[in-house]
Amino acid sequence: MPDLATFWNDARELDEPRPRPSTAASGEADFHRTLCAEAPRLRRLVHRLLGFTASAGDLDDVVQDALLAACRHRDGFRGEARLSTWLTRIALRKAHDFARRERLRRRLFAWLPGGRAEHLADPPAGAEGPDERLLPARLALQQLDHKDREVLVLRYLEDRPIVAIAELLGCTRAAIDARLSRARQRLRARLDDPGAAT
Amino acid sequence: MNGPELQLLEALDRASPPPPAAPITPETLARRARNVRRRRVAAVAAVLLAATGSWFATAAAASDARADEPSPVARQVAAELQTLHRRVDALLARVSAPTTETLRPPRDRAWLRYELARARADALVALDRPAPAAASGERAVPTDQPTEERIR
Repeated sequence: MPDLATFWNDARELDEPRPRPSTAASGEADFHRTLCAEAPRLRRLVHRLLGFTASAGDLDDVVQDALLAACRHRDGFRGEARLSTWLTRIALRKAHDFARRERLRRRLFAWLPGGRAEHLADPPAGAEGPDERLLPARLALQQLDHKDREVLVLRYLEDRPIVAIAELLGCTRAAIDARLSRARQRLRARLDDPGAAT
Repeated sequence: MNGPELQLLEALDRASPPPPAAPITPETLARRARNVRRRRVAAVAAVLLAATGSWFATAAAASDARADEPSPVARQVAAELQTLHRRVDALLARVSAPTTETLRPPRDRAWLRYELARARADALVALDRPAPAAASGERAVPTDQPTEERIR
């Protein structure tokens, strides 16, 4: 028969955490504070990665998910890279996951009767009306594939060297060069002919 | 930046600051972790409840199809599963109540899955055993009586 005593003990832990040694607890608190200090930088990065359209709630979701993942996998941080690099890598992955989910959601809405097919040009909640001159650029950026946007943001907006981007994305320098070149070409093509991609 | 597309990109970045946000504190993270865990446990517990519920139905049908009474082992299995069912139900109530837990690695999902698999395997093995009364040559209760009477 199943060991119900073990089951119950485990279930009890869900709302009755075990007491921890004070040194471990203080180390953990420091770690959490360090993570929270990184939050504004990660938020800015995620905002750029998502094409400047994510709402405040969506940004909070992605950033908090990234920080929680960092807490869960703290043991996986071996100190080979800087903590900020490690966190950036997690945030990139979470932003990628979010973009994929959003894409699926849009397709689902398009498929459902009465659903909205696209809301690419929607301004983020609470944002000021964007400069008219920049609307085509914004639309073109949103229409880009997430991977293209990722390298453009890291290289030209975050101003990171190619080597650092290669390290973050787990690619070679040559691969990043090629991706950057293709991403710029696609961005240019969309700016020249906004209707082509849709 | 070289190229008009990159200049536009930079201008867009300058013109689009991220929306304002409340600062994230360790308490925010702890609260989010708790909510994530609650959602996950609730989902797993719902599956567990559905699975044990369907197992009860299967076990009852199998018992009805037999000519003899459910064996004591089968009854014990059913009782244990009912206990499990009740406890998972209680667990659902507990995870939706306010708690003061801090961040801890989640391990409830794998554990519940493992327990469910074990419970079902044990129960199926127990049901396949012959009933002790029939094995010892005692007279089985006639099969034309309704199940409730046979059990009584």
